[in-house]
Amino acid sequence: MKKKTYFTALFGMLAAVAVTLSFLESLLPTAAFLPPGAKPGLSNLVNMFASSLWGLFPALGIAAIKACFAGITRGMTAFWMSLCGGVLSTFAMTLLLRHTRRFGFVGIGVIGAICHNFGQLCVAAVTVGNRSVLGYAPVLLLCALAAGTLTGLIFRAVLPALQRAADAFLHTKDRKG
Amino acid sequence: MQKRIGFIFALVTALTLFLCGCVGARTKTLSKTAVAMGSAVTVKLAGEDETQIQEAVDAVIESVQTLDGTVISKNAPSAELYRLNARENPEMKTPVSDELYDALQRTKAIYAHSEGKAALASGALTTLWGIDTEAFRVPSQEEIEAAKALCGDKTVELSEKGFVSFRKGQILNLGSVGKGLACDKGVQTLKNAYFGKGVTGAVISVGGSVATLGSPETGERWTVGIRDPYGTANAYFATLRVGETFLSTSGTYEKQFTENGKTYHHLLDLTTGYPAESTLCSVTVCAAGGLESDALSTLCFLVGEERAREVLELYNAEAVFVYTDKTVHVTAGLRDALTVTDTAYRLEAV
Amino acid sequence: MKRKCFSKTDFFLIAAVLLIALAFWLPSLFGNGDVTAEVTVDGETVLKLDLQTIDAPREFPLDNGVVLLAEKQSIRVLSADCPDKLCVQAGALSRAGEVAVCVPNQTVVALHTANGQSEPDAITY
Repeated sequence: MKKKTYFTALFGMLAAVAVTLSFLESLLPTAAFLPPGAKPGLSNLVNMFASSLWGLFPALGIAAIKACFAGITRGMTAFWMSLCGGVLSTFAMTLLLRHTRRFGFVGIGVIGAICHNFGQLCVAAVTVGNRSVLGYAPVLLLCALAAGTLTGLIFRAVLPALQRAADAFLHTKDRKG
Repeated sequence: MQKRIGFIFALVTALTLFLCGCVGARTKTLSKTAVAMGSAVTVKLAGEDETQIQEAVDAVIESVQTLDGTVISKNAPSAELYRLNARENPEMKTPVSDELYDALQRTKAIYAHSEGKAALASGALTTLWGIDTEAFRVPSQEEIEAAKALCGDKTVELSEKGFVSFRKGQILNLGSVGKGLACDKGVQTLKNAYFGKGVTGAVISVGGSVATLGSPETGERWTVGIRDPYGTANAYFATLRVGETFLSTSGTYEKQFTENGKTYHHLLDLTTGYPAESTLCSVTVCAAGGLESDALSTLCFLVGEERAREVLELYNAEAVFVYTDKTVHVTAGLRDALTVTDTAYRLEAV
Repeated sequence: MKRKCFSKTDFFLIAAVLLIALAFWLPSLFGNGDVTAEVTVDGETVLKLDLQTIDAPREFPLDNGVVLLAEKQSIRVLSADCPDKLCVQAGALSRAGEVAVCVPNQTVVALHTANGQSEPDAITY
């Protein structure tokens, strides 16, 4: 398969998976002991995969598509929160994935989740014009710890399979019509 | 490898700082207290540039000192008001500076609503009681009668062109509005050179009269405590959350003295010549100017709440009335801004 | 060198995050005296309540459609017209430092300690 076709097709699929995951997550009820809005953040997996496969910019593209989806379904504030959180966490995860081996997958997942929450919190603080929103910080930090560990573990588990699938996809023969 | 990690950390730090910046945590606050006009002057400024804040703080304190020393002091020979009072023939119309004329005129206008209880020409009585010099004494009845006759503004003439004249023996007194006037001056100094150019917020306190400008580092509104009339000097019983405004309090606890078992305070009722008898123990006024808030707080204390509310309305001002039984009344415009923090005080709806 | 699933650095990272979260949390654990609720809409304070003074449950409808319910020592968002209802899910707030936020309505309900903690900027006397 041509490299360009391969990229376009796989990028589209990844974006679709990311959007689907975030949609499915939004259907989950919040457990009583968790703060409102706490989500496992599984769609971060896709960003992680895109950045480990291709690097920063495609991963940012996925974050942007996710943000647009959030914007269409839940309004402008959701757009900005998703964008800011997604971009920040993508930056952090790409750096860690591609430039150091010191962190394990769990560490990368945790940092990605923290950055995601932090980005969202900043947008929330600016939108409501009040810094007491930052009172959420400790709870969100703990949630990011749990969610990040989860994404890190899942990512570690599915990475070989994804890698194989992507490779196989690249090597399928183009059909001449 | 090491280099890369360094780079990563630099980038993450830069991002974090950038995002903190968007939440607005970069302003600094500086506070300085000095003595001017015989009272503590505290200036608290919030802004971005530390050297500039420092400069602005000093400029405010200096402007307050200059105002007292050259214009409104009744006791310093260098001040314009002192010289005006010291003239051989006060009945002769004498020109004064715009600044002094403006202060005299505004004060006289407000005290015109006091039913004769407060006046610009109150110096004869305040001097007799030793209030300005804090050399307190209870004068004899004859002395009081004589001094009372020399108080009141009917004989004080402030003509259009900045000329002043009054009856011989009378003493014009800006003592009750001096601190508020100093707040006005401080705010003016900031607005002229610093506010909006690096200084984003300011609180000026001159002997208990407070001016607020801009907004604090931590939010939109300033918190100003109201002195607990029965507490120590730094105790407050309630707080007000305010934007840009001027606040003054007149209370019986200030400048009081006890003689022969009776306690006298400094808020003289010019119609009796004695400290005003009242169930009020303090009134705090929130107004658009420092002189106004000072004059109105004195006036409100002297005339009582009912009449005070009418006058406050004329000046679009608000007030908190504190009674000796620790009940608190507040005008509608301040109700939401007021939080009573001391449970011994009861806020009563009026 | 293959990337580990859980490295030593990860361990330190998680420990650090736990410590930071704890440091944030500690002050609010101690500050459980008199609390005031402050409600801001778009950065402007629209309501301040001393939660000690509320004897019977009382509703406070705000202009933007958010309805608050104050009870003795606690306050909650009863209903709001936003899509996600996160502010309602935040439940009852009772400790200083707790917040409920409705981002679409730009509304924040935050609890502060009434005395001590925040000194006034000035005192008028």
